[in-house]
Amino acid sequence: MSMNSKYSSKNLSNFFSAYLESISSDKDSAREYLTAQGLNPDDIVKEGLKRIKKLQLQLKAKHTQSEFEEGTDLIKQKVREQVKLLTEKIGFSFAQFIKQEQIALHHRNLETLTDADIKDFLEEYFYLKFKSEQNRGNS
Amino acid sequence: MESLQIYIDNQEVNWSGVMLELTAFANGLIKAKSWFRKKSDSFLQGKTCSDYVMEAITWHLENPEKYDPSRGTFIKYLKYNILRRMIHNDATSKENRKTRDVFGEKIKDGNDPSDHYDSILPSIEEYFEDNIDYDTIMKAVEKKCENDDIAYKIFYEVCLCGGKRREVCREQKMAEKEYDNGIRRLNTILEEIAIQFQLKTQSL
Repeated sequence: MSMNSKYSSKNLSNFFSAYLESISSDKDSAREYLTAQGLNPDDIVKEGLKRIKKLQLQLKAKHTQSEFEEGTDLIKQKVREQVKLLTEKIGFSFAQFIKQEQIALHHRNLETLTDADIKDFLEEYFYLKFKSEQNRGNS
Repeated sequence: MESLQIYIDNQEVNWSGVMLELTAFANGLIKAKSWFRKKSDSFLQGKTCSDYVMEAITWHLENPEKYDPSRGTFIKYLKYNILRRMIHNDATSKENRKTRDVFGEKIKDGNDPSDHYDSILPSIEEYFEDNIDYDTIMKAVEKKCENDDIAYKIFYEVCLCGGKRREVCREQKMAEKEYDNGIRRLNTILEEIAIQFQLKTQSL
């Protein structure tokens, strides 16, 4: 910047900071801006909520899995025995099991599940089941 | 609409509002990065705005304890702390560096104690290259908005004094809607000037 310069990149940065604040200041401003950009706000919301829901389920499963890993030996042992017994049973069908236990598989496609996924799922399921039984017993 | 039952300070989060505000913010910030180029990108390193938005939300859901309500609202925290930091890190990564050798040094990765909004300015400043005659551009913008009272007030208060939306509205007794429309007109003027000086060929 020369001695006579009045403005610098700082002034432009001030503008963009304020512009960003304005276009995202509330739901309506954001909607207006996104539409002007050729984007569909309704699709953004729909897709976003779907992804958050999926994320919530993944985080919940991860939490239960780590709780299971850190859980007491007694429940862990019981869960492992139950899963082993079930999966080694001749004619075991995971799809049948889901139906029989009336489990809702949110956002999960049965056909894409590997043996490891099924094992993790069953461990999570029985862990929650046994833990809830234990809690009921305690109360 | 089905509730996601995620609460912040005992209040359920309005995720549709969050999604819209974050996407607009990410889109604007990514475009600011490539403002003085022939084309305005709406993605960085192969990631779209939605990817950044989801990355920011995921980061929060995995680390909810990092949000400190005493430092600002939840949405401001997501925008100015998490999302801004993620975009900044990609924008100033080695392959996206331009001319300055101080890239990345001003931004702390942690949860710095300053106001969330104030953290945006250093990020944006780094987006603008040194080899542009800002003085001529801004003087031309100033001249062009002289006939638009609101746009001129915003130009003065924001560009020169670094004022924030709420402060400008309060000091200039301006309705927020009036301010938002004015800043959009100012943005259009800026684009026209950039095109006039052949610094830009495509609008934001």
